[in-house]
Amino acid sequence: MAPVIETRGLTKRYGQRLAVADLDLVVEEGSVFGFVGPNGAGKTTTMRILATLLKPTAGEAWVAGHSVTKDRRAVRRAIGYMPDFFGVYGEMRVWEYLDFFAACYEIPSAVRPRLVNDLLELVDLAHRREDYVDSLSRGMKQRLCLARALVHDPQVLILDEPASGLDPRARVEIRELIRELQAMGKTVFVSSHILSEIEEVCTHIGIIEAGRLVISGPLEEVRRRLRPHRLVRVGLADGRAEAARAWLAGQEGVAEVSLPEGDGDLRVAFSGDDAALAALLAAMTAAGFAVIRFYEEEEGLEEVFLHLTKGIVS
Amino acid sequence: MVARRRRSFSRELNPMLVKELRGRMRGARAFMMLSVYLAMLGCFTSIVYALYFNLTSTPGGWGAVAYAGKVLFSTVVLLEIFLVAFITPAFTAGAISGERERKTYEILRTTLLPARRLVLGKLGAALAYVLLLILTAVPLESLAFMLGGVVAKELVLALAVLLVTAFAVAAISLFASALVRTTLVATVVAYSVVLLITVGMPLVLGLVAALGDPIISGYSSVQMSTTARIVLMYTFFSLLSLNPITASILTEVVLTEEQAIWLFRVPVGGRSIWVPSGWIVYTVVYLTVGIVLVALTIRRVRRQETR
Repeated sequence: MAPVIETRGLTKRYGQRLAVADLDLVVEEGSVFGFVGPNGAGKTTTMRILATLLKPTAGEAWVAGHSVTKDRRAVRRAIGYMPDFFGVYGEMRVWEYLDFFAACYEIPSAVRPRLVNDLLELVDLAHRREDYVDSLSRGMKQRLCLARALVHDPQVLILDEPASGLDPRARVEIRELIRELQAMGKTVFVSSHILSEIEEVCTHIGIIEAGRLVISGPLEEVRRRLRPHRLVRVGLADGRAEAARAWLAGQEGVAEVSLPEGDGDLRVAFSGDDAALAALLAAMTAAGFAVIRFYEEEEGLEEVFLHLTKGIVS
Repeated sequence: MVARRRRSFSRELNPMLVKELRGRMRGARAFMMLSVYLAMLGCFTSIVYALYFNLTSTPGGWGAVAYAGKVLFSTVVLLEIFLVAFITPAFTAGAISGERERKTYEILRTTLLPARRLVLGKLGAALAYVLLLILTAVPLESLAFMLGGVVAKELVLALAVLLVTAFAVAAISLFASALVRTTLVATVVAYSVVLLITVGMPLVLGLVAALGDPIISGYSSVQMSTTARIVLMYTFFSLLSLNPITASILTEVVLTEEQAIWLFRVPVGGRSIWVPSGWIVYTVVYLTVGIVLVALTIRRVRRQETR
């Protein structure tokens, strides 16, 4: 698939401070790319460059094939940008707000009313059409801003921390909207400093730390690369944990066996596919061990993320 | 094709103008402001009216009444100039900086709205309201017509000076708003300039006139060539025409004494020179200043897009 966003050697320097350092990023068409990193890692700076608001110190970036420095107008036409902190025109009515931005994107007045209604329907604000923007809750304002980013039917959405500061329900709503956008065929480039927040909607992940891209790729691939071993928990009925440990250590594909204190279950780091894992279980029972638990522990990306970024921060 | 597209779109209303007008005219604020403005103007007119007729209770025939009409008209117009000069920055000094402060500027800059339309929309909306203030005060000015002594020409000239003042002050404030980061500083800058033009300049001018008059008129012992006197004379009248108050008074005096709207003669050292009426110089200078500042504001807003 063609890259919709591409950066090559993208660098942004604020005086002495390096905000983005030699960033090479590829976001493929139709993907939901989660751009993750701690606060101050350079996520917002990267997004602002892509949104044509900042000029890179060095390097180049393209959105939908247009250079963000040379062809800003074409880039603006292609993107819907939602900043991390934004204000709204509180004294406007909800429909007027969208109508204003639609006009800013040169959408003829004849089609605007219909468009505004469709967008309000999409973000579930149709019932607040005539209310003042100021009277909306924070989550609603966030949704309104998302609708605003969609008025010109952009190919790419650049959403900077869309879920920050929202209550759990509002977060879920934003996630649902991102899914819907993907279903509409849009590419979504979304940032967060909390990985678990966007993990489940993303198809791709890029982790940025101190201005550098630590890892990036499809979600599964990132998971695999970060965690080469599968973690299997094994419970025995007869308490022969030590013997099992010795036996397991000699099996193929087993990298490490540990016996943490407490539950008495073994933790097996295993590399191999599902068939190999099934064969291990069969061999274990055949060897006479009374296996009552044998399952893969799901390690959230959160731990992976912490594990990955810890070293660089300190 | 792009050019044609753009032209076809510009037939649509400027979105910024629509947005600003909606915001401005909505609710009680616009109405209250207009009421307060008219009440102030009305009170002042009544006071002048009452004072004048008390002071000149001696019957003076139609001439005195006509003179009263002139005084009334002039007072209302001069007060209006002051009000317009000091109300306009309140609408425009926050135009750009306010968007920055409310964190709406970034979103606006990522849209396709050109800097030119953004600035002209803001300017248009502010001027539309000031125009409303100016037009609603026309009936007050017209009170003078009942007394006589004022002709329609004077009303038209007064409106011209008022409109140019509104435009120039709006342009100054808009530029300040684009130049500095906060509305507070932009407001201070705008009011300082307005104060300098409306109050500071007449003070300086009065001083200069007091010192320079004997020299120009040739009563002083200082010897001067006629050319130098002419240059001094032009400088004096130009300065006089750069302030809305003195320019209006000059225009009025020329209209009354010389029956001239455009040019009048001034004797200098045995010769006489033609001098343009105050409102002409004022209009030309401040229209130019306004247009230049609006252009600079547009350039500044455009440039900041790639800061």
